[in-house]
Amino acid sequence: MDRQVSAVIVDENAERRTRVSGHLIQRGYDVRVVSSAQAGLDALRQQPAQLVLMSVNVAGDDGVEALARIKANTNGDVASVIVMAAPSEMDKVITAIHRGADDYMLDPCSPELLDAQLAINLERKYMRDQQYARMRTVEKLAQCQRVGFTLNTALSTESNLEILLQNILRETMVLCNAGAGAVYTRSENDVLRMVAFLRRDEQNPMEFIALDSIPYPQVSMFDPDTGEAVKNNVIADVAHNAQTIAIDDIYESQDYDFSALIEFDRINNLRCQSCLVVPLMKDGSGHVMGVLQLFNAEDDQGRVVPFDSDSRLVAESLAMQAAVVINNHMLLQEREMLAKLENDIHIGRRIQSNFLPSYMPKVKGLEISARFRPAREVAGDFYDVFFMMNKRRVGFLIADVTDKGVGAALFMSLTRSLLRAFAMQTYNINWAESLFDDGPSGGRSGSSRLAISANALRTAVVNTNEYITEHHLELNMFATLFFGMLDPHSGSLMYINGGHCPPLVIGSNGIIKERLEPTGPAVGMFPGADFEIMETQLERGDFLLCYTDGVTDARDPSGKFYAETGLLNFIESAPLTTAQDLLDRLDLALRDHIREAVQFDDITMLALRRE
Amino acid sequence: MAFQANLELLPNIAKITISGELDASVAPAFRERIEEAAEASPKRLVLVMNDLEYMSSAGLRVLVFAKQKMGAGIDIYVVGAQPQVVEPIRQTGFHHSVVMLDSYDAERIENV
Repeated sequence: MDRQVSAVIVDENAERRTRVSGHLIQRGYDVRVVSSAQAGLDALRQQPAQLVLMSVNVAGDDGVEALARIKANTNGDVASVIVMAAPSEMDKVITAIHRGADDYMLDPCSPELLDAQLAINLERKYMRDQQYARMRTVEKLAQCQRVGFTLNTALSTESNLEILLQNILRETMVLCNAGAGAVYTRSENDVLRMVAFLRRDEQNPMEFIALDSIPYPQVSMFDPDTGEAVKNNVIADVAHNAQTIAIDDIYESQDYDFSALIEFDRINNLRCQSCLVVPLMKDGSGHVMGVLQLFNAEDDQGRVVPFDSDSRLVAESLAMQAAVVINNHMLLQEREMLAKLENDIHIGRRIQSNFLPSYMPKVKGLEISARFRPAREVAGDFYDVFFMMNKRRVGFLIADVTDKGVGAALFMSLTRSLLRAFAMQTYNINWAESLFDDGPSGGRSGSSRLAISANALRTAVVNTNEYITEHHLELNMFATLFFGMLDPHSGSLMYINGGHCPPLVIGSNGIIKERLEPTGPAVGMFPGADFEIMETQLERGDFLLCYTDGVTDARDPSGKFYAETGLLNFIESAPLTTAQDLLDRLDLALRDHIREAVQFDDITMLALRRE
Repeated sequence: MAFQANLELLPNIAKITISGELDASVAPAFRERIEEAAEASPKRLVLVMNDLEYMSSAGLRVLVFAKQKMGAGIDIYVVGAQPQVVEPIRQTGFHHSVVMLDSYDAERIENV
């Protein structure tokens, strides 16, 4: 042992006092000399000593009490007591040994013998201290296990991660006798965020105060500019190296920059001194999930001392607990998020499917077929087919709402309802007007009916666009849609294409006759947008194929798009019979393209064929 | 190619260069850049798309968001977009809201 040995000599014999103390001082001991048992106790209270050399006469009288009290010291730092006696006082020596004295020295004795005896006793004391320390560690670990147990049970009831970590921090601080402490958790972008901070209450040292008013600091593990690992911050360094670091006095630290902490001290009139920084990681995982930091270990007298190896062991053990807690919490959150997502998908899907027509209107001379293949995540495709103009027209639309999830599904249902409602409303007004029509046939002329039809179509789309841009512009949601109105008798088709991929008019020979290009922007994009109405003709045997970009954006496992060319190639090569057969074949071709790749978007198709 | 969006702040101009494939999974990152750009209160937003290979409707939605976020008085330039990216912009009519340029015309863009 390099440290100076401290000894207290308690002797009423002035000559022996001087002689023995002189010898010890010569050997380099730190010696204090007193003449009574009480003075000896006082000296030990002021400053512990490794050795006490006590006259057997002091030990024999009130010395017995003093001996017992020296030996009863429970902080583990028990002095070795050697009684000094004349050869004639052996019976007193025996009593003293019974009372707890470690050894005896018969006086006068040679300096060599005294040296040997002191060495033996120091060695014995060292062994005893070691054993005591081990016992204490075992005890603390046992305590940790109990803490761990309570923490694990708390897990089931306490779901707030910060409170859980604060509890762990508190237990660690109690066991390590630390004055302050903090916990940092590591986020995905390798930033360590302080999530708990506690310090001892000066008024009530058994209590800890949480500091929740200050903005909690955070530490980046990597320099945002250079991308290099941050090494001069102890929190970041511990997170990188997954090794505990103990610092005796941060003000003296050469390795780390503690200027922020020192500034914090200055403002709050505090003095941070010793510091222990422990990585939070699951047993054997090597992955650091956060960092636990303790400040100012205190000894029994309340003095700030460095963190010892016991504290380190305790803190590391509890840090492991904390890592498990964080891990459990993350798993729980993931599970909850997943459940929420599943729920989102479920709700979105239900909204969506509720709005798809459950059956197709039967129209003489017209075959209508639709396919809807939803992606795993809910997208916002929909189609609709309904009668207009007192069943004289078939209205049909296909639409694609941007984005995915419940939001998109709700937006889809809103758009669909608005379009239907506005289309019906216009029709009803016009139908009522037609009752009072005074024309000779009681009905409208062809041209005025055309005007009404056009009006119905435009009003539906314009009003829907106005409603959405007025009420929901901040959502930045929009829908591309194709809204057609077909006279199945004549084949006359009026349509508005609001930014949707162009439907194809296909002749019975498989030749593409026309692409019905956009006549206005996507619906919901611009307030006051105008939508032009275009008119075309479906001849008998012609097909009209409407689809959403889920078809052209479908990717094969290598990421290649089906694209419009894929669609055109398909149409060229496919034998055309019925609308249903067309969609069946196209669906197969798409499946063949996508194969085991993930389908990202809804695939929706609507085909009409004039018979 | 993975999607990338880099913001560059020039005097009066916010320039975002996007590359790779812009779909729903990366649209939020693009949106963040737009928000950062808007915070700088530029007089012009320039979106350089020469290396943008694909843009889904989710990407288009961020453009719509950009238009709304920047406000009516701020011109948005879409520069160097490839045909497959121009297609959805034109189809949905959004090209009416932005200035489409084939290449980076510094004279025209930076003269604010």
